Amino acid sequence: MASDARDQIELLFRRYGKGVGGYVLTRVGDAELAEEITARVFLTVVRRFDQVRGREAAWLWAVVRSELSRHYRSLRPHCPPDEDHPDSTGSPEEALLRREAHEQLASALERLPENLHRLIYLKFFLGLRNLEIARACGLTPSNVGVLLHRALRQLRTWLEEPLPFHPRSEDERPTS
Amino acid sequence: MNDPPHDLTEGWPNDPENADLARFAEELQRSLPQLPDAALQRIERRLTHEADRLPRRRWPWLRLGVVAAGILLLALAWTAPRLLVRPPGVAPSEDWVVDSFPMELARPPAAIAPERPLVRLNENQSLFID
Repeated sequence: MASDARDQIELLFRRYGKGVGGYVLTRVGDAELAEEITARVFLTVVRRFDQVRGREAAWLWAVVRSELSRHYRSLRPHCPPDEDHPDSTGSPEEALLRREAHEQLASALERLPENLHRLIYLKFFLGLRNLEIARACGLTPSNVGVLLHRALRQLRTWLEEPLPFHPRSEDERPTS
Repeated sequence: MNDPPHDLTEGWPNDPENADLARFAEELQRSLPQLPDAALQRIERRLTHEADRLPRRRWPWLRLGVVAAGILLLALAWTAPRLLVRPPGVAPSEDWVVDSFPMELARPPAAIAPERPLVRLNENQSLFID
């Protein structure tokens, strides 16, 4: 691999690795599994880096979604990952509360429309400014602000209510 | 997370609930889970290893392709002249395909003089007089 491509990948990882890891952890609720999926995301980045045409954050989003979909398709209903690898940090009560909070957040994120979900990911997980998000998504910065406002209001409503169910998109539903 | 965004309320429309929503946004930002640093370091090592491995994995295919193309070219260069050109000094044998045949054209019949003129000018002379 050319050294400039390698430098760009390392830069990409240093900039977005933590955010992608946090997002994946929110979605799957298990640190070991999140580490594995995040690693797969960035291995895909290494292998397909020549496909990036600007808009790295948007491309990374597509890779993350693809890896998560693959993970959910491969899941078996009787074997949830967080039972295999329980959260070992803090007391059991804290771990349970944390897990519930993450599940609730993951559920609320999944209930958001795809475009709003992506904006929350780019703003809160990757830490991009509205201008960068606008460039990544082909929107105007003011439009990004309005859509984020709408997404947050929706998230707040859902996170304040008790968790009634755990909806997932069709392709992410575990198959038996 | 990476560096948190400078302003979580950037570009929001005017709304009386904005103060509450801003608190919610900050709380959300703080509560997002993060992978441990050790996990991120392990991922970075795997990533570096893969980036190192990639050129070694690609070069053999490239070399193999070049070698195969070279062999094909040599084979073509050796066989093509033999297929297209008859070697000098080799007479065509009886078995060879004959693709030319002698042919005789029939002679045209001798011209026959008409028994009477095609136009009887003498009999129709009146037609040409004004």
